[in-house]
Amino acid sequence: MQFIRKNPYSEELRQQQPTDPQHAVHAHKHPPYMMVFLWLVILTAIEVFPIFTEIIFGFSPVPHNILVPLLLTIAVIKAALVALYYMHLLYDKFWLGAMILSPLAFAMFFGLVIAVPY
Amino acid sequence: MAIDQHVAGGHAPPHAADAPSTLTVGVGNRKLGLWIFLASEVIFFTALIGGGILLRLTSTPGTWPMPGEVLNVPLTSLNTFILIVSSVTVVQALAALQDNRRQHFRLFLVATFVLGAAFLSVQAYEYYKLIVEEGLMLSQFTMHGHHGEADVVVQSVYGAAFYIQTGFHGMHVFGGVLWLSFVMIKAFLGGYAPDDYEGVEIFGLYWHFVDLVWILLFTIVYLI
Repeated sequence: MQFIRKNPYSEELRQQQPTDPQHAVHAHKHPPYMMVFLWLVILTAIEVFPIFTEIIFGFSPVPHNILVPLLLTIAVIKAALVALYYMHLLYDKFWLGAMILSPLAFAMFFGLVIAVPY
Repeated sequence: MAIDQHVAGGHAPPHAADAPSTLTVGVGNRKLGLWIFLASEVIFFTALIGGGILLRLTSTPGTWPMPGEVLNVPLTSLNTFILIVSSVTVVQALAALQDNRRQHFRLFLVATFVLGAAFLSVQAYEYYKLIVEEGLMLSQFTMHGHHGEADVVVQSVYGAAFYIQTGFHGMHVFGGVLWLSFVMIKAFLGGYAPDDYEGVEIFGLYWHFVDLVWILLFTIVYLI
């Protein structure tokens, strides 16, 4: 996380900037890629488990109205894992993540506007 | 501008032309450009998925099939797995390049290409089955009767929502596979280096984003 408040064009700051900040972080140590992969597979298996039992045995262990928020939560966790570790947002500039999430704030607002009965 | 000054001062870094174009914000130009593009993609897919949810919530009861009634969830689960594995192969390709393991780097790129093509093939097969056997069209689908009952054709925009959301995602995967073919050509011609990996990194960012969208689409379109 790094916030630049000084004049970003100053020679002094440019000298301080490492020419390759990414490489400095990753030099010989990489993020836990395989561990994240394992979690993605486990979470996907948990996600599809109820619908597979329904197909194979004809019943779902979890009622549909409980399943919906549960599945959405798992999906958001999986998406966050991909963004934080595979897209390096955990290690990269904070504002990159803020920039990508900002449209969602507007989506929430418009969603609320639609949801209000009028 | 920074690079020009370096050259003028006689301190040209190695691979000056290909080095990550670091500017004052601390992120390379191409990477920053790709993130801005991805922000626009968030708007694009949010609109598509939001539209799909709105259509579902306002649909006449009984005209929106339950999960697994029309769509083939086991087949798509396989496709989800394929796409997750392809995300791992991209990050492993980047890691191999950064560690200067060139053979692994190229191998992981090829693996990603094969997995991306496999995803598209499975999706094409899925579409074919849905159109020919399930009768899933833009404005109607066929509900198969249980216990000898007759099939019922249901008028619904379910098909339109399904094809538009998954179709636009599929086009993104197709675009990614095309992009990857250019990255592979450059890699096999000896391009990229441990200090020149931005081209692979930004392709990876796009590919992971497409995977991320699929993670959400799979849950919203197929599972709930």
